[in-house]
Order: sequence, then C-alpha cells, then structure tokens
Amino acid sequence: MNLTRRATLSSLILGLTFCAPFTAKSASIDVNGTCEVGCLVSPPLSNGQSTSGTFDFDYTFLDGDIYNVAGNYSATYSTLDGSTISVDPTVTYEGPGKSVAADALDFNLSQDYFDTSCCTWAGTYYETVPLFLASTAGPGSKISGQVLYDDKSVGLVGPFNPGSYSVSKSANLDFGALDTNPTLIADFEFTVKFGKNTLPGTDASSTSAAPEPAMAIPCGLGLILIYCGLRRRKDSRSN
Amino acid sequence: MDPEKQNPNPENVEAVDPGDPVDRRKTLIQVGKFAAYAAPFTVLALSKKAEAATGHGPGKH
Repeated sequence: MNLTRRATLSSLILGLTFCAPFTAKSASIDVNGTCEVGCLVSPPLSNGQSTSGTFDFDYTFLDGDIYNVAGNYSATYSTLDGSTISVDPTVTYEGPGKSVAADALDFNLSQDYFDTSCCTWAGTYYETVPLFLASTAGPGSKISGQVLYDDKSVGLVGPFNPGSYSVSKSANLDFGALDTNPTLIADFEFTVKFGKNTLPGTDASSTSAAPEPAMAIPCGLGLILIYCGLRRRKDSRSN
Repeated sequence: MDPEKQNPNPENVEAVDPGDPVDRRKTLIQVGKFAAYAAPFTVLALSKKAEAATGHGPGKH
C-alpha cells in the first residue's frame, strides 16, 4: 500500500519534471503598437512546446475614452503536426460616458515558432475568425480580423458593421527568401473601430458564443422530451 | 349550444382506450429517465465555451 503510494507520487513528480520543459511563456500582445503582455521575454516555441495564458488590461486613448481588453490565448508547435494559435479577445468600452470621439483599437497577438530542421515553412495555412460587435457601438463602428504568417495574410475577415460573424479561410503561403529561416512569426490582428457616442459596456470580441446547430439538435430534443413527459403526466392525471 | 354540434353522430365516435395504467406509468418513467439524461447535454450545449479565433499551418518540412 505504502509502496504503491510512493510509486504514484514518484510517477507524478517524474511526469511533471519531464513535462515542464515543454511548456513555455512566449506570446506577446500589443495594442496600437504599445506592448501590454510578454514584453520582456518572448521566446519562440520549438518542437513539442506549447504556451497559454490570460490577459486583462485597460487601454486609455488621449481623448480619455477607456477600454478594457481581456481574454485567453494559446499556441503549440510540432514539426509533425504544425503550428497552432488561438485567442479570444474581448474589448469593452468602459466610459466614463459616451465615447467623445471615434477610437480605433488594433489588437495584435504575436507568436514565434522556431525549427532548425530542413526545409521550408511554405504550405497551406488556415484561419477561423469569429467576430462580434454590439449594436450599442456608435455610428460608423467596424470590426475585422486576420491571421498572418511572416506578414502574409491567410485572409482578411471584414471589416463588418455591428453583428455576429464567423469566417474560415485558407491560403497557400510561400515565404520566398524567408522560407528556410528557422523562425516563423504568426500574428493575429483584431481591429475595432468604435464610432463616436459608443455607450459604456459596449463590447467587441473575436469569439462566437452561440451553440453550433449540431449542438442545438440535442438541445431541442431534450426540451421536447421534457415537454412530452410533462404533457403525458398531465393527461394521465386528468384521466 | 346546439346538441348536434356537440355530438353530431355519437355512434361513429370510437371509444378511446385509456390504456393500462401500469404501462402508462412505465412509459412515463422511461420518458422521465431519458429527459434526465438529455438535460445535462442541454445545459452543456447552452453553456458551450465561446469559440476563439484560430490559425494553424504545417510544421517545417
């Protein structure tokens, strides 16, 4: 019994020891060119490494309009399976009152991948960009997003008016002279232009919270069954 | 009320079998069980985590 406990504990310690080197903090976030996250240390991800984190900060424009930027990010790299990047930023206008002027906020998550193996980064790259902008945003408000690799875009999504959207794109990218470079830089750019007179609490995000149609079917089925059950119970009581 | 409208032809009205109360109870229990299983999936679907923006590409090859 005691031996089993020790063996389990040792396995856990060994597991953590071996897993630790494969996790690294390495993404950086800037807003309108000002670095907010991962500013001092931003090492690249190598084969088998991953990173994840959260962010939550305020950005104040010179006109006094304050915005909160919050969300989660993650990225992985494997020579075999390739690179991934994921982020769900939400930008919320905090006030103090209605926005006094139009504010353009350019959120950028940057992640480097490092691989010295042969030969090229060229290939097919994919992106899925969900976008949401609340209807309480001021007139002329727009939202857009895109993923870039070494400054080459997989495809710009938007700019869109307030509403909810989700677009998937793919592109064959060839990086020319940078193809054999050991470093590949991925960027997720999320741009929101809040029009003047945006109401406090107005949010814009690169997330999609609505359940998928495939998930809505079991949802509906469950509700129908509950309704039928109640109906039958009512009928049987009335009889 | 017009009695004909209420029951125009009583002879044509088929008698409705109320069914065996034991069977109906069993069915009700089955439906209840199924609903109990479906409810967590419903909650799970409604509370589905927000989909994030993603990008992916090949490894160096």
